[in-house]
Amino acid sequence: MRGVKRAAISESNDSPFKNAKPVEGIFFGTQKNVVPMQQSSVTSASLDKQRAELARKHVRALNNQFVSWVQLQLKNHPDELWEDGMNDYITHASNILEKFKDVVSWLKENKGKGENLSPESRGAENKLVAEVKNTNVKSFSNNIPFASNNQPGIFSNNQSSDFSSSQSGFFSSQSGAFSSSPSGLISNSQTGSFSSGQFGTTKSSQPSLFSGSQAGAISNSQPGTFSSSHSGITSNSQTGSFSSGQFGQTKSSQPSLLSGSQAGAISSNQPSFQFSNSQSPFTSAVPPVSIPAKQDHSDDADGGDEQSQPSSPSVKKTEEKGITVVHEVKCKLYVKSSDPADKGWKDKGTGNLYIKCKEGVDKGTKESKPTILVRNDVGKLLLNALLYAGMKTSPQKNALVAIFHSSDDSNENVTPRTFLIRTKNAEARDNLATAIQEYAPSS
Amino acid sequence: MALPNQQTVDYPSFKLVIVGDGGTGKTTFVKRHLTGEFEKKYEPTIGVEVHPLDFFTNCGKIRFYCWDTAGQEKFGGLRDGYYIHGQCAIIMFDVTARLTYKNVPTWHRDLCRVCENIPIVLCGNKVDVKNRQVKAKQVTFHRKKNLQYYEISAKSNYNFEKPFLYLARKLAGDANLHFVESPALAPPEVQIDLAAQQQHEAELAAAASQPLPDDDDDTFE
Repeated sequence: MRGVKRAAISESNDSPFKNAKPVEGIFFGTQKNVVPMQQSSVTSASLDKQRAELARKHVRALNNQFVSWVQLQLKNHPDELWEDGMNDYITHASNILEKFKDVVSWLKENKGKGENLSPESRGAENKLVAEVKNTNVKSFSNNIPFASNNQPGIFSNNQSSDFSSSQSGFFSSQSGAFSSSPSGLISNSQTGSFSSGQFGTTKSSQPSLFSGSQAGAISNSQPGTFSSSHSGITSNSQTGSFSSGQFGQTKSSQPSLLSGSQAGAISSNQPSFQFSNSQSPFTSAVPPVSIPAKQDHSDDADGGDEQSQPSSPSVKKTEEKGITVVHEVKCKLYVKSSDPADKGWKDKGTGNLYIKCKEGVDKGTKESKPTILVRNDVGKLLLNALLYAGMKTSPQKNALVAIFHSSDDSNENVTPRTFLIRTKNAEARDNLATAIQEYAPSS
Repeated sequence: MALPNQQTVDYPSFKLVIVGDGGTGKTTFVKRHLTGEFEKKYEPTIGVEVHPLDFFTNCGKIRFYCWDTAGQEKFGGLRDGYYIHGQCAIIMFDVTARLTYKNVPTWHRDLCRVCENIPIVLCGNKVDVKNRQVKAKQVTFHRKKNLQYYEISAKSNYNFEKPFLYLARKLAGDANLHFVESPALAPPEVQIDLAAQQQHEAELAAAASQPLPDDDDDTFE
């Protein structure tokens, strides 16, 4: 049934407007007649009802959204003033009044008639109370014009009644919200309609008396909405709308309101992120090394004796019979590496160099067997070779370069190798060179 | 006591464990005895390297199987495995790094847990360096533990035979044991002809153009 009504409204959007005057005349005439005539007038005024129904839906959507917003404010911001929301409500109400001017005009024309029918208006008031009490019963469409027809009269007579009626309306709406909930389709449809109206309509000012009358009319149309509320999805949408309104109001300009709406929509769609900042504390796995040793700074005679004792030779020299040491010098021996790729001198260590000859034989002869030996402090042989005829040497700084024929420790093969003998100073080097030349065989 | 994978010799041989912090000069000390070479470039020893060292004494020839261990914790691995069956030991520290001396008690404790009652020598290496952090007077650990202490320099060969002499005397049980010069065999006869002589002169000329080894004159002080 509601689907049929909605289709009719969409199809004949302009028709009711054209037929407004004839419909109004007919309705006005039947108002004076008896009840049977009222029934016939309902049928003839169907077009006007459709327009009124659409206005009623807009008002209901606005009120439901506003109530949801108020409940949200009560929950989250009970200690703040809700001025922005109130201003937003008035703005949207003005948009509805502008959009449904035809309905407003009709209400205005019926205002005087209402005054004349004061007994009937009282009866309407009683009916309103009855509807409020009975929350399970939905209002009938044929009652709406009747109720609207009588309320303006009350407002024009007594303002205190106006305030009382408004408050009652609010309570009725809240009660209705708790009692029932319609299907999502209807709810979404109403919300969509309201949204499009909100953005499409511009604000306009009204005379003070007329504004008050219109506000009263809207308040009294609330009984029709007490039986419905919106689903969760729609509630969220309404909340977003009012939130965006709040943002817009802070900038105090209409374009800002639209920007605020967009901002609100964007913010409401963003998911919330939660970052976990819990980290396990870093503990060193290396246990501390405790060193209990203590330093003793006292002068110990034992230590002193140790240091002052002269270093006794560890290696005792063997006396060879028939052999004479003709030259002796401390030196450091290097050998040229046999690896062609490795250029440089290879360290053989420090030691003592000896030149030994046989006793009783003329020096400078082959029979004297002049031998050059280098030993380290452990007695290990570093060099063991014969001086030969035609042997030559080359002095370099504090060192002497010469070629000797020696065999490796584990090798029987004899190969000539270049040795570098470093001495303490140039004098020792020259003495060594002289000794070599002196004791080498002459031919 | 020879290891299965090592050749047996007909003269006494002993397992010598060398321990101490990384970079104190353990490997350089061993190489000095092996080849006479002083290794300037530092490469951490990974695990353990075993080198046989022979010495000639008045009681005959003696061999030390030197177990040169890794001083760094990350290269140490199962350190106790290196100590087992150790018959003598050298604990090396660096006189230019105070921390290496502070860790000597730790090395000594770990060593004695595995090897009980073995002769141990404490060596303070790098005494040739001018700026030393541990003075000779400050070294007192050896007195409490009945160790022998020597200040050595693997670079200048100062006292570099002393640790081995002390250990050899302890192991032989002879306080009068001393090293003797290794016998020098008769060097080979050489007959130089004219061609060889010219080659020698060429080599000498080439050696003359070769730069001298980088070494200061402190060696002979």
